[in-house]
Amino acid sequence: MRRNEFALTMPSFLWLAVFFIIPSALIILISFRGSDSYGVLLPVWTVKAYQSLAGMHLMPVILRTVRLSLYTTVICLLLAVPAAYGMSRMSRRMQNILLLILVVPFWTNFLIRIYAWKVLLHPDGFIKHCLVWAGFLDQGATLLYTEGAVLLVLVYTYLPFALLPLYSAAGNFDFTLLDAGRDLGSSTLQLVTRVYLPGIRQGIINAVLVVFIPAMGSYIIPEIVGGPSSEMLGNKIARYVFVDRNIPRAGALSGFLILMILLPSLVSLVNRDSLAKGRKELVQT
Amino acid sequence: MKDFLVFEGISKSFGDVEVIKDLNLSIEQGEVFSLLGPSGCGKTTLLRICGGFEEPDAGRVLLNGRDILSLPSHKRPVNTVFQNYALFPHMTVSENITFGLKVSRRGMSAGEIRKELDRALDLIQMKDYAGSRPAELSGGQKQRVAIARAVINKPQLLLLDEPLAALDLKLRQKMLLELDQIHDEVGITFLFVTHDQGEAMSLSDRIAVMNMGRIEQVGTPSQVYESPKSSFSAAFIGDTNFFDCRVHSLSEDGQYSLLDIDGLPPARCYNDQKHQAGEHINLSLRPEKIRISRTRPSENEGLNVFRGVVEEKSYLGAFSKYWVRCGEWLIVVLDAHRHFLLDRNPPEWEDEVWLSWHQDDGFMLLKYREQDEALLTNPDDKFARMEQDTQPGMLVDQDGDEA
Amino acid sequence: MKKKSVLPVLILAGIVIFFYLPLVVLVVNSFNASRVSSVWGGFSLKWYERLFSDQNLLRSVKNTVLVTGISVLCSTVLGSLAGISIARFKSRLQKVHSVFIALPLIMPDILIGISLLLFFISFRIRLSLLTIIIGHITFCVSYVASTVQARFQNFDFSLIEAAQDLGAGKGQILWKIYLPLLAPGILSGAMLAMTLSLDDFIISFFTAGPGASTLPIQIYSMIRHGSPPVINALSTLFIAFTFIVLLFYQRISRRLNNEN
Repeated sequence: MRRNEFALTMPSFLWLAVFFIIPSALIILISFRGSDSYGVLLPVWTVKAYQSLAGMHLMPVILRTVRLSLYTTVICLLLAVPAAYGMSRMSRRMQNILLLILVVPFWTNFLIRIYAWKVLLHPDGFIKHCLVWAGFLDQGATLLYTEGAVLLVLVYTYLPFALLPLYSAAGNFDFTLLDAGRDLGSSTLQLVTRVYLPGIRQGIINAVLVVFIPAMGSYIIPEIVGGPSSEMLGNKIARYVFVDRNIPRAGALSGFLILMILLPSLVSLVNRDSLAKGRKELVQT
Repeated sequence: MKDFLVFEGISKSFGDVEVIKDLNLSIEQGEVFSLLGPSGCGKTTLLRICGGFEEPDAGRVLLNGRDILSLPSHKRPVNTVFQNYALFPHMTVSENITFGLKVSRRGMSAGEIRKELDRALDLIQMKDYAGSRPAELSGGQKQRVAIARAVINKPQLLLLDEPLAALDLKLRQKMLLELDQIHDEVGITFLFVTHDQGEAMSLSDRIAVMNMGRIEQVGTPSQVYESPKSSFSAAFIGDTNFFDCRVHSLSEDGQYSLLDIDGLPPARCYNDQKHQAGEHINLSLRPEKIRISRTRPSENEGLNVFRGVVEEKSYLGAFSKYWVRCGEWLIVVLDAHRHFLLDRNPPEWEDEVWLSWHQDDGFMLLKYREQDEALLTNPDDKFARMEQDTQPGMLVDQDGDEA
Repeated sequence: MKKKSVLPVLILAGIVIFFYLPLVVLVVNSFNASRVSSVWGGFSLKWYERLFSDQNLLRSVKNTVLVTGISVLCSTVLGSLAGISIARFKSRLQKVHSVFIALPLIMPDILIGISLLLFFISFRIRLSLLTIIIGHITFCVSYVASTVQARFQNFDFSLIEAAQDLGAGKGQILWKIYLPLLAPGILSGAMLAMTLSLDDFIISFFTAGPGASTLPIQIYSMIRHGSPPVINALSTLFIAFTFIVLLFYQRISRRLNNEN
């Protein structure tokens, strides 16, 4: 029995230990090493990397990362909660078709989707023309390389991850409760806040986790559609590695990012499936 | 007949819970033997030990004189019919049935397997369903496939774990008859686990009544029912009345005793346990052995008569059940409706009635535990409100947990 | 009387438009003779011609097929075994194991990429296609394992006992019971691994050696330096490919599920 378990467990266990656990530990370890200006690690232990972080004026970047992630989460919820409700009240057939329609765009390459927005938001692009034509924008305004553009693409990227857990929560919700609530005299607002939202609570929690956590770690979206004034923590880390060649500092900031991500996800470690679900449900529909 | 399957000093615990306690049991070749008991009594665990899915902490299991505990499950000449059938959902009926023949490397040719399959399908009368998948079958059909799948391997012993529990009442009765027929045809020994006394009684040659990891009584269905040895056997199978009595005196030949029961007239009872005067005993009296009438029954040598008032009555179709208050005792009486509707005038609520029973129908129990009274159906019994976990058979709350 | 709520349906419709607008613009523009996306310069396939004459691109496609193929194969095997062992055994080892499986799911790609990069440098492993493959297997294993494990939620373990009881050995049980029953889960795990591997840019970017360019890396450098209309053409092909794979997958998985 024991031997069986070992044979089944060890391949993935060892693989992850070597290629995930050790590298992750390494990054923290390296953050306590010194380095010279060429990026070569020195054999000394120091907290210099952490001290240098304090002098990097990182506060605006940290605040921006948290702010953009929070906005993304809130906007995704505001859109996905009513959409998931609307979907789950349709016929079974319609639900399946819609599910497929909603999921299919996200099977195309991540970079291509971001690039598509770059084209749309481009000064010569479709959206700019529409907005200028409608009088919302004057010719000189820029859409691309702004914080707004980053937020838009973040929402675009993570909305389906919010949609799927909320849809499955709505599917498990007993809609006769709404009739019962109305029967007992509640208004529509009360029905939503007192009956429906508590009823899909787990779905909301899952949705928040699958949007907020990856948004915090965004790197490529601000890289492509954001400008220097809309950098997030991921871009800083990449810059420390590739441009500044200061690996201990990159390690220190990575450790900080891991901490910020781990805090909200402590909730989910109990229910770890919720995180895999985001992407998983793309496949299983 | 020589002992075919023997359990010797079996003990098994799950964590702190001792599910089987030093159990000894022997089963004869060819018989249908039932382990009957409430959920959590250890019967399923015993079966799983026999099938090779659990290992006992102590003891031996001998099959034909050979210790089978050292054999892994797939090497034992024993097959199991699982409670939920455990049919492989991705295989057809034929594939399910022949699975055992194909995996066991017995070197059977495709033709031989085919022949065995045909015979098995005939046995369960499911030739038309050979290509169906389990999901397309009804409960009774799945049941039959599960049996065929097990018996096609020609095991020396067939274990059946609550095989009828998932079926509805009518189907259960029908399957019970079929199971009996299959047993007659294949002739192998059946070890049958059930919590349903009706199933055990109608199918078995012998029954072992189990409670809290121990065997209370072994015997034929009529032995177990008619002469229960313990308060548990008496109360778990059927319904009964318990009386605390003191032996007042014995008849000259010692065959009969005169019993003092608090608040009731002295009663005569067969003294099968050779008790002496002055001893305290517990008496079990089945409700259908008591006659209820509005008029005093004529004096008769062997008849005991109590007087009481009907406190509760419920109509059950073939029977009526009465609860009659006699002093401090509430006595259950089952009255069969043998007559035409109006040709008699049955006792009703609040009626004064006479209860009478024959001196040979009371049984003195070897073992009595007060909490077994909770198994009885008294409507206002103080034991009926007993805490769940003090009830018999509540050692482990579910059969599933026990496994 | 049932009152239909209008607002949710409107939002839903808006979301569908929001999701498809960028893709439609891409596809349309890939046939646009004009370089400028907002001007229709007539129908043309010239961007596709230019696409197919790009040697770098063709090489990166080959690399991608190699990387994805190997990582899907390895991660499906590793992940399936992991999913089975976590669901089947309830030991302390499995608790640690399932934490190992869970962590890559919450770790941002950029951190996985950087930590692997540092790992490879520290242990003097030369960056190449192989290091990309190692990176891909690492994060795919977690997804496959969770998918396979989910398949176990209603798994009836008495089937395993039944097979044992009927005389099947360990290998036979793995082949004849576990594998067919878990096939839909394993297939969707493999499918997920394939999309993630095809999709991944960040981890590949960090672990790629010189010249070991995959398609996403190639797309990235085209976005940064290349000609937009050619990327449109490439994207359109990519989208078409995705749809075909998706259709195929749906049919296979429906068949497998029907069988069970």
